[in-house]
Amino acid sequence: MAKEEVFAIPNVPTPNQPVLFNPEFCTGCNVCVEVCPIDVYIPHPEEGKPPIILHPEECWYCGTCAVDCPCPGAIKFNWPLQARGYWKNKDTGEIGQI
Amino acid sequence: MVPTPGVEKKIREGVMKGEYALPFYADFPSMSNVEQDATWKLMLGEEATTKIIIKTFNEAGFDTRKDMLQSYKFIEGQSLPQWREAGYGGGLLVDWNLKTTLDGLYAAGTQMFAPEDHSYAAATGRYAGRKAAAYVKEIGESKVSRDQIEIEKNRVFAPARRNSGIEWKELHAGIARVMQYYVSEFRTELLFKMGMDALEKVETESVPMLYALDPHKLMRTLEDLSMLEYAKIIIQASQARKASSIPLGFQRIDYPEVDPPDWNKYLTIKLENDKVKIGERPPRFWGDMKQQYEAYNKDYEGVYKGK
Repeated sequence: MAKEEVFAIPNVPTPNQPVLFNPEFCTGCNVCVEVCPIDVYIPHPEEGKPPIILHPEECWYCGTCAVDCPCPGAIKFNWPLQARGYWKNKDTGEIGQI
Repeated sequence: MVPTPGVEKKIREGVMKGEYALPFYADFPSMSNVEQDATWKLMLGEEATTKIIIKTFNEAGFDTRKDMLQSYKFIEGQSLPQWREAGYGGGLLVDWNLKTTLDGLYAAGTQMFAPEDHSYAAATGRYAGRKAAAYVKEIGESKVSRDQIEIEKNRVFAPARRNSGIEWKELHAGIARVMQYYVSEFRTELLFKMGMDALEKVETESVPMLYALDPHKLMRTLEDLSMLEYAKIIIQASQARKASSIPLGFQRIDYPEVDPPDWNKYLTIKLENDKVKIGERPPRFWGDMKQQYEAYNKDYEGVYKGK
């Protein structure tokens, strides 16, 4: 049978990037996979690679994965656009946002 | 700490009278260092599910010694988000040919400041089509700008060339959140400016990260890019109208006077050389309906005059 290619897929869940992995620092130790209370991740089939975010829409944004990660810089927490808090510098009035 | 209903009512009344300016902030710098640290580092910084919030804020540059944390109490609004409007009306400005201020571009239906019904859409669609056809006949063939086409193609296809980043639904929610915070139940100059700054941040930081995995999602992405433009137009138009109005469903805290005679006018908003230009038109600027229709449709022998 000829190879079939798919050009249309259902909408991806939103939000879908609760964390951003940096493959440069991630050793693929899978601590995040273990500690996630929701089982958002599965280990990457290839050893040493960052886990796969299989169920991003179930993430509670509890941050356990990022807090317990033993490799600094490997996981960056990524709040969705609609949930990024603001602050204001009291002296300059400058607005900041995560 | 949650204020009691009585206190909350008083605060709300104070906001509406302009005694308190929104948004509210958690004023960390006014607290002693030990109080700041007990709240931020100990209470939140060592609590399991807020630890990541504190970490993310700290990494983004938040500092309790100089920064105040924004509160979303009140500016989130009390009504259902889906029923909130930034104000009623608005649309493309057209002349008696239903031509917009961009030569050659015609408009019909609810994209104009118009009744939202089918008969109006059908009638204006037919009219605009007739006028547009006459325009094309009159100007004949014109030169196609390859440069312009390339620029537009790059804009349109950019999200399709990426396969990760921010997808349309997140952009949609992000824009909606900005409008709910800054241009919904409470309207002041300060909130408008904060809304505008927030939209500009979305435009410079998030729009270049948009991705679309197939043509349907590309279509939605482009729709939301237009929505971002509309959001900016709504805020700028709101900034320009320094009065409240009942017919427009537009209540400002800082300009509470309702429908003052000076403001009985339409405001036009136009982008000219990357600058926003505000103009105005008097009420009923379209003139006498019958007279104007006759004047602009002398040659028309279609449905109107009959056979």
